[in-house]
Amino acid sequence: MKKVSLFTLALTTAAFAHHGVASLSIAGLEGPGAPLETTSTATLPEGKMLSYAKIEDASYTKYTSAVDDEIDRTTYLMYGFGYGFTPYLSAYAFIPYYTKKREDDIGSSGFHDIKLMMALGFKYDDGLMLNPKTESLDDMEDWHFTTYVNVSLPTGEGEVTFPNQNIDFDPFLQLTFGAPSFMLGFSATKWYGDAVTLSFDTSYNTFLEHTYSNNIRVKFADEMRASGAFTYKLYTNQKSKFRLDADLEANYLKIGRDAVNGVAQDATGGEILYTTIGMRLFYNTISIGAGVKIPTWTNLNEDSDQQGAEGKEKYRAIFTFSTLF
Amino acid sequence: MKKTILTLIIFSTLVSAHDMWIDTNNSVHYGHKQSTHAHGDNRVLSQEKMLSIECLENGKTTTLYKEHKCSATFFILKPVYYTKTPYGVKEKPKNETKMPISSLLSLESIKRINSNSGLKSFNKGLELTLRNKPSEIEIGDKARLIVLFDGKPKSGVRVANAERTIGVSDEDGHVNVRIKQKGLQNIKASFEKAGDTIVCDKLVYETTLNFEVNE
Repeated sequence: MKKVSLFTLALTTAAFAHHGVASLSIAGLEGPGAPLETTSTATLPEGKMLSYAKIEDASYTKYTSAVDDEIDRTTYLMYGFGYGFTPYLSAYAFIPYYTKKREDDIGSSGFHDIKLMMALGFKYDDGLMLNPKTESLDDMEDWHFTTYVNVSLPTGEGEVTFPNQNIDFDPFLQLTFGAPSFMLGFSATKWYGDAVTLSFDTSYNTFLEHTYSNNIRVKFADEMRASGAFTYKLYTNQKSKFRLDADLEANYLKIGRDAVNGVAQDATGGEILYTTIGMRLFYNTISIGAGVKIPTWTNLNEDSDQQGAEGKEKYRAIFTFSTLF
Repeated sequence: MKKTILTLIIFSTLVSAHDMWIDTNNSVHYGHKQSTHAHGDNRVLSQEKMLSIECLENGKTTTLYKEHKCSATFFILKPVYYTKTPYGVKEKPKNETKMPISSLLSLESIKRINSNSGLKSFNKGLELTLRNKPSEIEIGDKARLIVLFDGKPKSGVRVANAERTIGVSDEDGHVNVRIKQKGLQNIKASFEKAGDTIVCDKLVYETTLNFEVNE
């Protein structure tokens, strides 16, 4: 009999532009695959901890020669820790480190708001039930679901100033939303018993208004996401505990308008459909994912004025690392 | 050298490499039920190989006789020692074998469930039984199993279907197997525990469950 290693884990966290959002994906050497961006439904084994890191580097297409206050490049690092309280309830904490640089080379860098997340896993097996402690590989072919909540706390620096630069206070370069944000999400996964896994997720994220020290009131726009992922197991070697997956995803994002002093802002918001192409490697209890995310369709509110915003990226390069212990 | 390598391979796969299955005439076959491993060496095990042969009839367990219409039959094979030596595998305990390298005691059984009334446990050694009715299991459904040892649920037992390990039994002894082909199902469960190192180094328990699934 082959030895089954069911829980080598990977976890992905999506961070979209200035609005960082955590999503989760977990898979093993056997069992369903794990997308890079779409949240899969696996929860952490009871009593196990997960350590996680993600880098997302985005470069934005320039449409005008003017050197102005539009974002040129962002690099987001996300450190995360997870713990499986029960087979169906996992908790996570994420510590983001953001670097934002405008076209005029002015930017900010530092730890952003801490995010706390809880995920409740359940499945359909002759009825809905919470994830059991033990599942066979055949049980893993059942439809699995997760509902998750994510709260960000305003722990980042909200008074980033630029003393040697001739600019006003820029709320979009701050390292905090200034107030809590809340996200509610739902995901579903279907593994077809061998190489193919389909994953779906949707989430809604809303931000509370915050008044910065210069009396500017900012409410970042609500965000709605819906994603689908096709994961294909390319290679598995049980003896060396190695697995390689290919990943193809469609990630839809709808953003409202940011509001400053209660006024909806021009040149913000719209709809974007990203395509993510990536690979994920599992070795023992380590998972490494890498991919690129490209906007393939956009319907931005003021398209020609939204350089440096979501949907105007040349690409987003994604790299993740995670391990279970 | 070639013989030694072959001997080592045989020893390492002795317990789990073969299949056993019970046909409708209550004959126990030994060989390779899966076509991928068919070596043409299938044979029917004689009664001399059996420690006990039991029949579940009208809810009661009795010794199997030809005229019985059993809702389930349960065969326990006589325990066999296998001791690896430099000159081959011997069917003797470690302490009765010259130059022993390692030794195991194989404890095997096999059950066939013929009807919905055959789910009761025989309460002897390692045993697999169904929790759902076999007549209601169709292709794509799950066979909901329980792993028992002397009639009590046993956790952590590996379960395989058609040579593929699909998981281990949980705290209640439960494990589920999805039925993917019609015909006679051949589901195995096995676990090991340490021996006394004098007579043998380990005890290997293995049991097989057969039942039919129609289209």
